[in-house]
Amino acid sequence: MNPLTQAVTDAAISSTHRIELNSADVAAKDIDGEILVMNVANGMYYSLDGAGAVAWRLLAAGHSLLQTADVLASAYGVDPAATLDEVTDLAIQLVDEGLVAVSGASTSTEAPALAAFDVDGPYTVPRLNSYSDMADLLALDPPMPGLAETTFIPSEEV
Amino acid sequence: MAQTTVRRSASTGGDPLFSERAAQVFGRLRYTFETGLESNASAAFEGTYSLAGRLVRIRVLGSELARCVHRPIAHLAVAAGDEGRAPTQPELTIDLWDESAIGLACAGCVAHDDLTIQSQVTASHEGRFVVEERAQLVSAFDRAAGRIVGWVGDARRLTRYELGRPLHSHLLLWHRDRGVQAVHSGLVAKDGHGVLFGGPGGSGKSTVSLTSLGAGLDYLADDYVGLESDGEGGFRGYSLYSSTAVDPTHMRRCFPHLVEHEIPGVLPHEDKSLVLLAELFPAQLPPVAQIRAVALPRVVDRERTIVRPATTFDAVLRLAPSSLMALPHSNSGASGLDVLTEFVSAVPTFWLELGRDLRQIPMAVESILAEVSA
Repeated sequence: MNPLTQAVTDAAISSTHRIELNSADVAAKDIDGEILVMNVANGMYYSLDGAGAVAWRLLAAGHSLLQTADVLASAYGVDPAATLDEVTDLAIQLVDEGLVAVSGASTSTEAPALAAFDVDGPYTVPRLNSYSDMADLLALDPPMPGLAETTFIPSEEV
Repeated sequence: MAQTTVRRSASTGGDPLFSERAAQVFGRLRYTFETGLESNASAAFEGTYSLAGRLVRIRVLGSELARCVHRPIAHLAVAAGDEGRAPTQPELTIDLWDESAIGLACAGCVAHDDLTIQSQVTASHEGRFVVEERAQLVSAFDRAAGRIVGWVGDARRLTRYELGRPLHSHLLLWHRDRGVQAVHSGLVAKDGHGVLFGGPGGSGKSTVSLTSLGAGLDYLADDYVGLESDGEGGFRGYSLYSSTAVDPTHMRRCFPHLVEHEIPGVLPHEDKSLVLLAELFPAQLPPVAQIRAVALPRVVDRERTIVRPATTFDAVLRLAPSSLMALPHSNSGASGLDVLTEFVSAVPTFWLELGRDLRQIPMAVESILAEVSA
């Protein structure tokens, strides 16, 4: 059982957990309100939109699951408890896909500012859309590890 | 993507043996080539090319190998009269020889009869030296010195992949070192203004690019484009090769004029045939175009081809995964995603829904160019 799955089995602590991007293998981009996430290690890539994109932004900004759920529930006018369950499910999925890691509990009780997040359209359950078409290719043809971030050495320095 | 599926295993990094070995292989190849050049000067072919706007010198020992290397990049050759206006020193020197042609072996280089053998890529610890070993080709790239040296067992046994994109992984790395991002896409242009086509394999990039070429538009690529910022908020697209890979059945149905020029694949995974367009359309293969729009082809079950607006997210979602994750050495992660997002955000984006009437496709492309150039 991964740490977050373990954590969410204990309702007393799950909601205060935060997550952080697995930046060694994962690249993410917020593009006009939608999120693209790529796992360059295995070729899987993902998108989030609507409430899922808002949840990603809040979680990526370092807010706990509870803070994220509170903001979503308030912004969309939906039930906070149900929203926390849904945000938790999303976080578990993000961890299971290797996109994020659990970074510990938040000590802040301050809710993030609502104004920072655009809420557009009705609430839908935050969902991670996954795409596996590249993963099959990479299974045959893995990217070369180590070279990706190697800095080019200008010839005059050699 | 079939043509790009080069089976490869990779090793780099912390193992000092790999670090030492990559440098040693480069040194051995370089010494052997220079020895061969001294004794086979009459068999040497030399050419100068402009790859992504940078001068590259290529020296080859062996006439068949020289032909193999030249054909896919013939449209990028710098004419003798142009060299005076180009930088005096090439940014990259490529030295290759064909053992079967000149009888010069290289210690450690072994030709394999099994062309499906998995290629091996190793790199020195700091990433300076990169070695690629294939069935009939061992090549090493010194990124610091700007030099690639390679041994070929028998140029007549190179695979269709190697014939279409010589030294592909090394060159993509060289481009990336210079800020040129390889993008899995097609590119056609008119009067220097280009439309880039993004999408996964089978989405129609080649069909759009080749029908546009047939209708008189300029062709730069149908699978890989070198993308570079122009420093003024726009982006240039460079032609990297003139080669196209087309399913043989599709070629016969849609591009019958190419059939007599096809080079069929011989390996199990080479399911497409190669055509080298530089020899067939020399006046329609410019080296570079200013990209004015991104179009996302997708095949639809109807007669007409229709252009619809697409979002920036649609375009990045179609371009980024195969550009940043599936190309050799190109897993540039966050930085590559930033570049692609900046690029796509800078130009209008469209869906290009490809109907069955192929004649409408280039008209749709021209309509995009007319709209974005207005």
